[in-house]
Amino acid sequence: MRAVTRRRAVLAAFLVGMIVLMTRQSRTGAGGAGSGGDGFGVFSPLMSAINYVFDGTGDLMNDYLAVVGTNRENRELRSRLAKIELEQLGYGEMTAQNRRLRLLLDMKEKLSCPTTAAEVIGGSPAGWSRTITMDKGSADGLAVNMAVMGSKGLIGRIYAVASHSAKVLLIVDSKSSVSVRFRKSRADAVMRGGMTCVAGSIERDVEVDDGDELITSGVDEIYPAGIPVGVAHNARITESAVFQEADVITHEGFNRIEEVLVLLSGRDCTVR
Amino acid sequence: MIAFARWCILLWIVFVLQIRMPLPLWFRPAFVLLVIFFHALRFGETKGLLLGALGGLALDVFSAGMIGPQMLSKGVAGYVSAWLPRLFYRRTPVTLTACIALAALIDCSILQTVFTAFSLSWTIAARDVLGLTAATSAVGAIFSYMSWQRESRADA
Repeated sequence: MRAVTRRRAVLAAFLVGMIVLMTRQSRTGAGGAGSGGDGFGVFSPLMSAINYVFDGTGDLMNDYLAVVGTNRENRELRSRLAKIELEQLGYGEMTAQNRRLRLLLDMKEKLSCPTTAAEVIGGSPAGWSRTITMDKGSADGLAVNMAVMGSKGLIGRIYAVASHSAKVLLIVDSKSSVSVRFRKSRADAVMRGGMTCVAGSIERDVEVDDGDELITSGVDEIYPAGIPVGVAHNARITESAVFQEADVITHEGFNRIEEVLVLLSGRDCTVR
Repeated sequence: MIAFARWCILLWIVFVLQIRMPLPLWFRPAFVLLVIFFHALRFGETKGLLLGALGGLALDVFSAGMIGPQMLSKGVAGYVSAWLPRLFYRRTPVTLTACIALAALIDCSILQTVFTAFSLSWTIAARDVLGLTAATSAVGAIFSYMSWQRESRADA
């Protein structure tokens, strides 16, 4: 019973104490904690200390979170940048392809015969052989000995055909030979492939200057007449002294062929 | 004394968590009150009042208002927290949660009365008080269950 009374007395004292405390604060206007009123300024250093610890911890946490956030953001940005660069490469590639196809289209428009475009899907596995493989074959109407052109000129002829692919012997292959004609002098010659293409069997009295353009003559009955091949360079009299010969700089760069045009009707084709 | 010091440390940790925890405005349980409640449940009215007053003092110091309202409300809540469970014949999670709800209701009512001095409309005041009480009771229910389980194991 005494314990209960004591507890109630403690509660009553507490209540009275609190009421007095709050009444005094409201009368003196010493409102805020740590404001100095009613001796509660004693809490100021305590509050400052606690705030200092909290703020320090908070700052540390915020800094840590900021670093973590920055790292994450950095990773995301790097990833996005890589993606954009890849896309940009893709766009660049598309633009280049577009340019090549336009040139090919220009060439196609100059030809009187039906043609089909094909994509190069492989090069020659053997270094000494200069061939390419393209993604169209007999199923697309391709046959052996059909002439193959690039956007600037002659590339070669088909020498093997599968249903969905075909192999092209390039004019720069050492086994290749093409009947050509000088556009200016109309003199015939035979161009052989190799490390350096050489136009031989040029009659001795023909005047050959550097830069004279060579086109196909159609005499070999493989390539239609009039297709640009290259330009003559460094003409000279042969050892036999019967003919002269000249090096040929081909129009096409054979190391970077990506799209080609196949002439479907062969010799009947003319170039405007 | 050591036990009381431990409870004071726990109160302090919970107090720090309460003022630092980013909680939505509609769900702000009084974690400090829960510590005071369970302490009072174990050690009685006087110690409940003492810890409640200390917890309230800490809250008052960190609030912009005057010193006293939190001390008063938490002190009273601490006192009644030891007394309320005796009203029930058996101590179960439900009765404990009901006691927490009552303690929270007393705590919030005192605070609302002191802070607003009846300046708020009854509807808004009641909504605030009941909202805080409900949030505290919801969290308190979990601790009530845990406490009841612990007591059951101890009895067994």
